[in-house]
Amino acid sequence: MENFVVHLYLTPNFSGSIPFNKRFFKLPSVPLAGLLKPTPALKNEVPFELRPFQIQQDNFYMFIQQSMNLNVTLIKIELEDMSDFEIVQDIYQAFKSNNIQEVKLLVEHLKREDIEVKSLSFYFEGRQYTVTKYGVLEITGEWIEIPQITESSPLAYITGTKVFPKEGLDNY
Amino acid sequence: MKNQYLKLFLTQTFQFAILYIIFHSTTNEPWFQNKVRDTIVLLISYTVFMIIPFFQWLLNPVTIKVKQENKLGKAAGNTQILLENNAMKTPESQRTINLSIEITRRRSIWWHILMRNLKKKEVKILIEPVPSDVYLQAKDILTVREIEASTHGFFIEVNQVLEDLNLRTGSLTLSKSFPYFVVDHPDNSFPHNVSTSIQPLIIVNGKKNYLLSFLIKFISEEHQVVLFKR
Repeated sequence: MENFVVHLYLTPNFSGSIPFNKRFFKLPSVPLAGLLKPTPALKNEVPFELRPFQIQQDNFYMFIQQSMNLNVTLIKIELEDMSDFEIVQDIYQAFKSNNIQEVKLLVEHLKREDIEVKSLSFYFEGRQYTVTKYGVLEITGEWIEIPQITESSPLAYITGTKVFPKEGLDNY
Repeated sequence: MKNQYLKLFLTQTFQFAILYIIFHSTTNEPWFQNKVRDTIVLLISYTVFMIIPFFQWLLNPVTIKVKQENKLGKAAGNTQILLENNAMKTPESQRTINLSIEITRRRSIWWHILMRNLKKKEVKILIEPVPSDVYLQAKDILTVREIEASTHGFFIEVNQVLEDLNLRTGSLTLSKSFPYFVVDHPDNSFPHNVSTSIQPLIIVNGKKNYLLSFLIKFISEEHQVVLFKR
């Protein structure tokens, strides 16, 4: 088990698969690629075009609101503006007391005030994940399973690979 | 406005004069003698000029209208983005531009010709900034099936909508909207002050197609994105 920091990039005008590589991967179903260290040399080496990918804020907000539903435990929420520290504390407090309604209200407040989420850390099935708004993921695991984790874990909701489930209907 | 009427008047007079000379050269009668003939010439030319735009109307069975405006509203005009330490200070919601497409189908025999023409072709609307200093990313780019990323912007596929329209008869209007935002990323480096223009284009199989421009009427709106460094 190792800690990997993966930088996500969009791969326009490219479809197909690439052989296994120790420094980058391409997701098979969506135009996304992950690079371990995006140095200019590696960017030239990859067999596809790369373009910056930003994670949209709605996905962060939705993820916080639905985290109970998705069976994840939020550890850390980092906001763009450090002066909004109190709201984060309130969100933690609401999570502690299992008050989903309060969490929703606080996130709505973030949305209304245009306070952007910088990064999000959470636990899912015993592993820790971190996502930043510039599409940088921190995943623990073996390198071979990283592409699969990126696509199937709750990370996929944040990156936008999967559509969020309808609330309360995930058991059907 | 006055200038426009003057232009119209002059071009029409010019057209009538040319027609008159052409008709006159076919006979050898003196000028302005045969009133019946002159009246017939005038009436024929009028009907011809009335029929031409009618055919033009028939030639466009599909109209695609693309509108763009900042999420803040029409009055905001362009999208302004403030940069500080090479990161965008303007929040994502204010960097979002709402793009809406309106596809209208008219009752026309040309529709079948268009559909037959489209069977092997891919019609896409390309949204790219010029100059390409910024990157545009459509919202939910990975899950919305019509959208596909391009080098700096994105494509919207129209084929499916046209095929859906083919199931119905008569005239029909469909509208869809695809919001997109300007990407903020540490990899980007911006010039000090830049203004880019986003003008949607319609492309067929990767390039412009003149035959289709007769059949598809494409109206698009330009949008400006302005970046400042403080």
